[in-house]
Amino acid sequence: MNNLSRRLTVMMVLLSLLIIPAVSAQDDVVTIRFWNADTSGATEAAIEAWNSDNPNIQVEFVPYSNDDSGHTQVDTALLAGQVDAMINFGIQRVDSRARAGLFADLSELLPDFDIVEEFGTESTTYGDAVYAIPAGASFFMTYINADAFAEAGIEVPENWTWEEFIAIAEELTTGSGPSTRYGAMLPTWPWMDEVAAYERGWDFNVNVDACTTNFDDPIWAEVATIRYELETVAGAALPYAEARAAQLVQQNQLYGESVAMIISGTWILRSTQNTVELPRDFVTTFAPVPSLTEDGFPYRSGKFDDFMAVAANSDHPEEAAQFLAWLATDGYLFYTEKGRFPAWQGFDAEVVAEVYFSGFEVPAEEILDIEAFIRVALDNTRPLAPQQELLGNAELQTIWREEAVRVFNGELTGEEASANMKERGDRALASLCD
Amino acid sequence: MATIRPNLRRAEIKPEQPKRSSLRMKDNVAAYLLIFPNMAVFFLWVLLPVIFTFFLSFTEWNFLEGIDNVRFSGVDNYRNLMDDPWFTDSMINTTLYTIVVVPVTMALGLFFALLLDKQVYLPVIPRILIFIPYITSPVAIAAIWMTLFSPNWGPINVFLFDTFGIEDPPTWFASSTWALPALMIVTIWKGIGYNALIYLAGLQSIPESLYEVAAIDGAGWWTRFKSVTLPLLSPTTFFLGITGVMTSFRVFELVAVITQGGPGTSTTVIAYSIYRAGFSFYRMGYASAMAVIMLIIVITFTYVQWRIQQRQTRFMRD
Repeated sequence: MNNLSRRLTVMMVLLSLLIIPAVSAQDDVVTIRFWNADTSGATEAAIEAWNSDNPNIQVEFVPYSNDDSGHTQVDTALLAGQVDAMINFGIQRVDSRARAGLFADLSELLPDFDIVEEFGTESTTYGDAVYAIPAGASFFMTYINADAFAEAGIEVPENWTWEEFIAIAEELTTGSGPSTRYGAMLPTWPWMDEVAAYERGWDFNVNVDACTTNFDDPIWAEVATIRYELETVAGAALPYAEARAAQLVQQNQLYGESVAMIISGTWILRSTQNTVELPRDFVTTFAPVPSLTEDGFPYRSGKFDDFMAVAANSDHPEEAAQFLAWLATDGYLFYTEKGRFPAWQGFDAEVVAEVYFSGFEVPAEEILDIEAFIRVALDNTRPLAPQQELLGNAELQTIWREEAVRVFNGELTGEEASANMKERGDRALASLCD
Repeated sequence: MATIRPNLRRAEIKPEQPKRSSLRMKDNVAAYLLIFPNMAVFFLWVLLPVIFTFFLSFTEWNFLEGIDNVRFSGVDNYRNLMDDPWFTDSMINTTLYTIVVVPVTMALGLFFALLLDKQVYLPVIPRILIFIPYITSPVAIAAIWMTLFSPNWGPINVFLFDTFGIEDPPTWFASSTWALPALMIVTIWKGIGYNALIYLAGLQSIPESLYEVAAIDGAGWWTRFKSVTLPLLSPTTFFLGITGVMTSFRVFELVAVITQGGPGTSTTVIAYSIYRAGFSFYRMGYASAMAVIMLIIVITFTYVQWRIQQRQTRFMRD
């Protein structure tokens, strides 16, 4: 009997030795719920790589849709504590969530990772706190039908002003009526405020101290009038209203040879490899966005995106932050392969381009002028414009859109629109500053 | 005899009274139990949010900051509304939109109902066809009409140019002047089928004998329509009028998809302003103040229409 009880005791001890490490190992594994709206498959690939290298920090992908209802779902999930880490699209989302106290301070969670230094911006800094990693960036450039330029005997410029751009677009415009081939097509939203931002910064429209707008600055009338002159006066670009009404897609217009060049973002670059649905005989080359002065823009023509943040009420903020720090740097190449460009300054432009084009189904050099692309889009000799979201920006953006469209269609002059914007913008801010 | 009967009746009734009231009590309990689920849902999802909206309209609140951060701001929201072109223009636009859309849709609905009631062989097919726009997704409708109204080479402008030689046709959704009328046209087109169907049901409930009597009295087509059809359709007209006004005040989808309130503020309507203030600008208090004003307007409209209808019905009874 004694023997039996001793044996049982030994067995119990052995069993407990086996069980305890297993239980404690299970306790050590934390699960990070990572919310993202990516549908390219890059997130799954990145998480798989991370999970196999970090058995104790397992990441689980929670997809949401990048639209109004999707963002409302994210907002409620953040409030309810169902999010550990997430990617925000657009600085407005970061700002409203950061101001609402929904995000954790990353400078505390990642003391050895200087986000401001690594990404070259204070756009997500609020006082001493940094609430998001601006991991991605998209850039605007001019996509050009190289043959159309060659046929017209025009050399693709390395730099150009809007005046030169309008003149070239006019030369490239041929035909009439429904069969017109326009010289150019601008984005299908009012967009020209981005041109003002490349010149003055994204935070330019508000004078914070006085709680008034800078909408009376001549640059607003100038940029709105440029689009009017290009589309309505010169008739050299597909009109904004026409593009909106028919819901035209820029790349379809370029590759259907209805326009000779488009100004668009890097996000459409991947669709250029689809030579089945977008067949063409020409190579696409690139030029910068036309500038307002001969000296070019002081900032790169682009903006940050993919703002990665940790939820303030996460149970595992350190682990979530570690995962994001990896995803915003080395891990970001998974997104690059699927079509997104990193903002991290530690990357080499050649490597980024190589990874990006390695995801193409056709040899990229056969359809694109890669050298021009690297020179135009990945030139990081200039910084991206500061992008701090300011009070009332959503209202001011709406006011700009509403008034700019009336300049494009000839209802108002640039100056009249600027005066309206100033009056309406100041009134909107006044009610917010009270 | 005449004096005895009431007494008798009273004598008969008296002993039954307690029985009746307990029956009535039972009936009441049963009735309340039956309506309870409906009332509970109504209270939770309609009445409570309305009361909460009323409360929020006196506060400043970004819903992302949680319920703890509601700040009381008195009547500031209401005061700011009066100076805000998004609100004042949206009130004007919504009123114009309602004034045009509701009567025109009803008139056209009645016109088609009259056609479909009598004049059509195999009436089911045109009835289905006319109703289809009403059940089609607003997003699909928006896509179709955006193409039709395309400013330069859209089918409508090409037609105006080819047939009438109009060289400078309206640019429709791209023009501050024409965007609202274009939206009205789309809404009227969408709503005709529904109005026609309801009117059709109303027409079919009018007894044929009334028309026969009127015809014997020598009434022509117009007199029969004016003196028989229209008055007997007045409950239907009242119903369509009230629901039409309420729907018009809530117009949202077409604006959100097609114009987003522009160009300028030319198509900003009240429901779109409320949505934008709440979910784009995160100003829940301000959005609630607009919602309260909209609620008051709709209730007032409905009350006035109801009173007019009551008077009409009394007049008909007399």
